[in-house]
Amino acid sequence: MLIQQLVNGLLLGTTFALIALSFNLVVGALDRLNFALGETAMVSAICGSLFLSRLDLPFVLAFLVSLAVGALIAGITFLLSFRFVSAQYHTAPILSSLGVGLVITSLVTRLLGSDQRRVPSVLEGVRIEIGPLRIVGDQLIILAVAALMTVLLYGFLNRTPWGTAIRGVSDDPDMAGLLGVPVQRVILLTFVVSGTLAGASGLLTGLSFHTVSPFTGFETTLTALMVIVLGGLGNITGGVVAGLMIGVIETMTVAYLSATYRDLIVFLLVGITLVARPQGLFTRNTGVVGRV
Amino acid sequence: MRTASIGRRGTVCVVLTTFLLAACGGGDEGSDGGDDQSDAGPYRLGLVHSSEGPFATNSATMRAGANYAVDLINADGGVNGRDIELVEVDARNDPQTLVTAIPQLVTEEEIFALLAPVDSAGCEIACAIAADLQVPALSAGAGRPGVLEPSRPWSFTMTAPDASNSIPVLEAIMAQEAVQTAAIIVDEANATTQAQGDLYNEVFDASDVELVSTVTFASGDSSFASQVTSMASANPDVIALAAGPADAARIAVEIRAQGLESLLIGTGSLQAGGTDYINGAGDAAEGTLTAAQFNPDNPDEPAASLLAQAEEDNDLDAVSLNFSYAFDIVNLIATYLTDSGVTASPDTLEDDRQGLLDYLEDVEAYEGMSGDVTFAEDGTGDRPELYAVVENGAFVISEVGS
Repeated sequence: MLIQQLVNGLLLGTTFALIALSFNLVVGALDRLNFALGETAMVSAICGSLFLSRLDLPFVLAFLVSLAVGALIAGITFLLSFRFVSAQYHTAPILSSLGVGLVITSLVTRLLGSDQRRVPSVLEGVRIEIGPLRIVGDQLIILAVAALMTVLLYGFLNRTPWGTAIRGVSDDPDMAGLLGVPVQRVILLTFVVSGTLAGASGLLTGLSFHTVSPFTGFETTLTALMVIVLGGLGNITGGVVAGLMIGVIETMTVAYLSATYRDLIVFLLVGITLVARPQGLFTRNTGVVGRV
Repeated sequence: MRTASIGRRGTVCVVLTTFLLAACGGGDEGSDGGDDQSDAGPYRLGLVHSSEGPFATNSATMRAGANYAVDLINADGGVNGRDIELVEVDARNDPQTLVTAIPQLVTEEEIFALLAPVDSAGCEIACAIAADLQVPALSAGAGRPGVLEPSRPWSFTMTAPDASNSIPVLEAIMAQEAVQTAAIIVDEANATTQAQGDLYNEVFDASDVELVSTVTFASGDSSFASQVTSMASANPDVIALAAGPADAARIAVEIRAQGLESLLIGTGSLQAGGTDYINGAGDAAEGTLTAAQFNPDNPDEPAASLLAQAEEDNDLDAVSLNFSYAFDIVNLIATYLTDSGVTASPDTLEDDRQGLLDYLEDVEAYEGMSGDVTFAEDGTGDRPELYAVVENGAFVISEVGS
């Protein structure tokens, strides 16, 4: 059972890692947190689930819809909460994006209702058993798609001109601007890519949990914050490792202690990290407050 | 001229006022019922629902049933010529909201009676506050044992307590299905579901069923993979769901996704939130057995006609328990208002509430949408012992032993 629980934890962590990647991209580009990303993931997942269950579309199409919705909402959030806000007001984008998140939740509950929606299984009945280990079809899809998204992101950031531009703006926006990089367009692109990842994370999480609820947005944001604090703000690899770590810790806590200790233990870990190593477990030497 | 004119108007006013006072006095003294009080404004009933928490869907269903009853009554001319108005509060599963909102409903909105939350945890708090203010409170769903103790005699629930209704039914199911081993999954963050966990323990003890695994979660948890893996390692014959219907649905899906074929069982409250469970779980819900106390296909009149009409008017596949109980609460109060002819005006509100309380204590076999409504001495509903099985996406109700 221990190995099975480890796999369960890693799979849960995979979805955390994706949303943390999404947050870290924005932190990298702007040194700001987009607090509406949790809600972005939620809307994308709801749209994807509607396409899967109501229109009976193939998973690939529903997944692409989720990515598109995530990208669109992240782009709009950038324009509403970041683009025209002066850099001297550090808290303004935080509050503004929190507000965007609340508006998104309200709109979804008004337009689509507050019920949780079922995300139908994609590979129903498919089950792989290796000794004591059992992996079902949906878990395979989550693993494969999350891995693919991560590899594509790495490829995009490291092998394409736009990816290089994103990294350049992330390192030094002033220098990038002087070298002719269209900084604002690159930041918008970063938000769009970040929203795409949030959309992917939303639908994959829905697939993993079998449902999606309009009220999970802020919860997702909180989880992502835990992950990126642990992994280091802006550190993409750290976010992935921390996401997997938190997934395993949560799963093991539920399996061998109690569900009520789950958040407590994660918060304790994050608290200790903030005190002992504020820059995160895997990142450069700048603390959370200094970065955001 | 002006003085004369004023004098004539004054005379007319005095005469009209005299007639009005006489009319009101007649209503109060005679209590013949059916008096026209159309100038007195609507009768106001408080309704506390919750858009969040494990029983949010039950709450929404209760709200729909109450509003449907009010719409029908008002469309039919109201009660004593007056509309009924529901003054609603969304408690959002927050006890603090109840503590603030209910006194406000009583003192500022001057409600005549309260439709209390459907969930036991919310009902316990809301009913206690209403009782302190001497306002009758009726819940369309609270079923935890002892939930009304702090608020009697001012509170009632249409539901038979989960324990008294579910224990004998579940014991019968254990025997019928020859169950040997069981696992329980409990929502630790909710008093109602914790009580359900205790109830299952009692059932398994009494039925000589070995409890091989107990796992926990907290309301609204996203992933149940870990808990189901733990239960799967014990391979129980049955898995008992001590969870709100939405969480229970996701647990059921995870159980089937991991390939477990254990029988799923629930208390009457799972059947009460049946739509949410079945919609959420889909095929995974098939075969689930629960205790039940309400039959949406009740063939007896007037329940059968009322249920059919409600299904048609509200475009429902089946009327749920909370819907029908809330519908009956509003109609029960409306019946009292009609029969007694009370005004529920600020001057008489306290006496009129006491009158409703006396009426509810003595009500005998009110025939409503949910069947015959009577209350036991402790204010809980007296309901039949039924069981339900999910077949083709719907709960099919049967009598125990049938």
